Amino acid sequence: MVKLSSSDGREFVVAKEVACQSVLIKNMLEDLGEDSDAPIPLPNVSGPVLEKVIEYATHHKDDAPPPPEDDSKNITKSSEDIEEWDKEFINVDQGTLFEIILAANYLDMKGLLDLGCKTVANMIKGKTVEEIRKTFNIVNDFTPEEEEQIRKENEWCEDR
Amino acid sequence: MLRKPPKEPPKEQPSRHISSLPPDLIAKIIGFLPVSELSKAARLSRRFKVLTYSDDVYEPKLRQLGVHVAAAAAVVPAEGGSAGTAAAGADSGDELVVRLRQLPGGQFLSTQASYLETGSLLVRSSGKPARLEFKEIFTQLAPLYFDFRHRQKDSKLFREHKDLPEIGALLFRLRLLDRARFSDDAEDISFSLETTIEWFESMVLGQFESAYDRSDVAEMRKTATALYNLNGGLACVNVFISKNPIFFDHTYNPSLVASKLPATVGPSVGYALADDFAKFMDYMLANCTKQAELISQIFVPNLNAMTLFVNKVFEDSISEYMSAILAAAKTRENVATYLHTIATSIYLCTQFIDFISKNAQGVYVDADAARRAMIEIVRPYSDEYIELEMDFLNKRIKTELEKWDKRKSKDAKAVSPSSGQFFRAEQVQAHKRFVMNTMKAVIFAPVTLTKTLAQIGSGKSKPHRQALLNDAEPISADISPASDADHDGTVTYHLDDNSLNSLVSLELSLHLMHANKEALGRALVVAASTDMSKLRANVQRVFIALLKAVGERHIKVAFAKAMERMSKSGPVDESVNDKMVNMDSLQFFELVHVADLIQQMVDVYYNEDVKIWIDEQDFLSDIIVEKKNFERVLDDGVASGMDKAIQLQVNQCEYILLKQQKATDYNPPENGLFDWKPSEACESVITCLNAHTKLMSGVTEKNTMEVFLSEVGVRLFAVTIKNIRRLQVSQTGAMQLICDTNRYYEWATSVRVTSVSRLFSVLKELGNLFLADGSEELRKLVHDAPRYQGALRIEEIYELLQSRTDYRKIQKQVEAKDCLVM
Repeated sequence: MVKLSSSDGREFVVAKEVACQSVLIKNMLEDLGEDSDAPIPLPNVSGPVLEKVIEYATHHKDDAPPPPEDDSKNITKSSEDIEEWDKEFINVDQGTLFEIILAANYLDMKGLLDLGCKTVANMIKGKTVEEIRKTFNIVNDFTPEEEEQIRKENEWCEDR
Repeated sequence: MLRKPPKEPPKEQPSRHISSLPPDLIAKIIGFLPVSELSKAARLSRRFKVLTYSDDVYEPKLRQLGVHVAAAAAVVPAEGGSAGTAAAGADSGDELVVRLRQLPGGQFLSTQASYLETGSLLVRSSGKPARLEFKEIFTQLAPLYFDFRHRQKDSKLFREHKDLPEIGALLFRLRLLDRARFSDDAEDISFSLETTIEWFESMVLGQFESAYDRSDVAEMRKTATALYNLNGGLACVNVFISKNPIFFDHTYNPSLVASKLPATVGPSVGYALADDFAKFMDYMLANCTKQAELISQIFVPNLNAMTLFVNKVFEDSISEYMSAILAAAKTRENVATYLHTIATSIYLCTQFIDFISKNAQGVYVDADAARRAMIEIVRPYSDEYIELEMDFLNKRIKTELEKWDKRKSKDAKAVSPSSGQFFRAEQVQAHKRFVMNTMKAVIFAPVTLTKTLAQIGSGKSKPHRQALLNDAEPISADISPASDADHDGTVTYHLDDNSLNSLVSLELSLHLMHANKEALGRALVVAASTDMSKLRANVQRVFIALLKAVGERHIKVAFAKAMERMSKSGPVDESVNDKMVNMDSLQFFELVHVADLIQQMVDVYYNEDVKIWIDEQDFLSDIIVEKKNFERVLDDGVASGMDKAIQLQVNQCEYILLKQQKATDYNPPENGLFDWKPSEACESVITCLNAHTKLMSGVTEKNTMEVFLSEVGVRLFAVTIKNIRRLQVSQTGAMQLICDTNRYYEWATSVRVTSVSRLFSVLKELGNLFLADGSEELRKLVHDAPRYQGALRIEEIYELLQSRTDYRKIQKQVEAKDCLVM
């Protein structure tokens, strides 16, 4: 078992294989050696987020390890294929979603990071530019002419 | 590790905002968007535009399309600006084309650069932003791609392009684009595209097939290139192979192998099968070379069609024919035939690979892959080979030894010692040279498999038929089934003639070495061609078999026999042989000599043929240990036989003296003539001594020799003293005695052992004891202790004096004075 300590001082005791879903923790454990009882401090992750992350890691603890980066060629990179459980799991408010993405990035958990990013991508898809800005509170700093210019520049992307 | 107290980072923001994500994560999110959404992402804000246009978004997409950023391109300095680097990129692309065209068959490459963009060959220069690169490819492919939403065979692709290789290449890239899933709702396009590709492939394959039937090389090349561009083109190589006439050629029919063989036994039958296989391999080589030319005209080099073809040839034709040949060889009575055929077949296969991979057409053949295929098909034979070989070798050793035993018992009387013919000391060196030369001629004369093997390593190629026939000739004499019967007759060397020795045989040893060398050659070929890791172990096993046979089962036995004989032996007189030499001890010394010669022969063989394959530094390896043991057999034999041999020899000397030393020698009648020569008995003893000791010189190591000679000296000294005591010595006879002792001394110095010459210098002094006239002089002599150097005690001197004819006269004086002195 491994003890984890969140930024707000909460301690979580989890099974080793759950904790090792995070490459960061896995490497730390390797550096510290087996018999360290001290909790691992995670100053960038708050308690509620860490709880969420552990929930994800526990559900995915039996997954096959992610294939090496080079094989990305054949992996379909689509925001569409998300498991049902994951979809339910990531159905959270925007703030928490970004917290999870940041935590996953910090803890080096590829699966969770991809899940978060895909979810954000799905929130962008199918909306108009204005709708997207509204959803994410993005301030438009373009003049209409500039915006039109960019649209033209990217006409080749559009479906035909 | 930091262990900050809790509550330290108080989060101000109630909720995170998308802009709080680091840029790489936002780029990652954008990367998940379909290409059609990218325009919107760029329009959100200035920050989003920068991120949307970044390489982080487009580089993964390019990778999915098979475009890789070349490592070399990264070196191109950025200072040159986009124009400069773009030019550099173009250059390197051109260079690639040029290089590809220089490859065999490269002249058939499509002249369109688009060919090069297939596969993962396309190299992106680092100067150009990934987005523009992607845009270029995407705008080229997208119209064709989206057209598949509604059409298949009649799509834009087929309307705009007619060249088959080009269509193949484009389809390949469309498939990559499709698999990259840049668009969300493309299931129908995927399906349509895959169906079209399937149709296109079978259509082109059909064209290839009919072109093949028409022998239309140009058409074959076009269709093969199209298929290569589409999916690597393995399918059309398979068609080429499966339709190839080489696999339907029954010139060499495996099922007829058995019937084609000469039914009669003869010297050639042993390697007829191997020969037939060589002819078959020649035929295959010629055929494959023809096919290589065709392949070079049809297939692009990258396809490596020739390797696939050669593997197939191995798996089908060669393996089948080889099994037939080996099956036939196995039915032969002589295992040697089978072993020879295995070794030759395997060797021919490696040669075949060598030749085909260096074909004149320059068609690339992956020799390692071909070798693996070859190893796979010979595995059933190579696995059991070494056990068979060892079995055969051991049997052969046993037969040779038994044959020799039989002949020995038969000839025992013929070479009885009474023939009087024995090794003369002066002949020893000449005979040794003769034997070594014969041995080298027999063992090393022919071009052996081993030598040829070494040549393979150095890349020297010569027609394999010739190489193998050279090998086959010398072997043939021994592998012919009839050889057992003929053997005695065919032997061209008679090394044992010159020796009376019936205990150990040079000829037998040579036979054994010859057999061993054959086995070694085969073992080397088989191991080198199939599994190098077994080579050292197999060489060890083969050579150790020889060491055991010659050492333990021949030399050791011979020494044991010699010991047995010597222990039963007694002195001999003229009735046995005129020189009165004890044949048993002489035989022992000769045995030492011959055994040494055999050891030298084995050593030469070891140095020439065995040493290079093993690790001499490994003192614990079996072969080194066994070789040491082998060398010890001789030393042990010498050590254990020495004492008996010496005793026999000295006994003989004593016997000679007893028999031949006449009473008148040292006590001649008055007025007798004295010729200042050593007595006859003395000369006989010296002759007898020389016959033995000279043989020993140079055979055993120097220390043993010294021990041996000083032992002989000590015992001989005692014998001569005893001899004097036995006889009466007059003053005139003393001259003869001095003559004799001088002769003994001469002998003693000739052996060059200090202790012996010192001892005999004492003997020389004894003459004076008998020559001395008058009591005063004699008394001085008797008590001059340094003169005798401790070799004789005073009592012994007194005893010797008793031999004086005038002993009674002088006895009182000498002994009385003695009492006074004491």
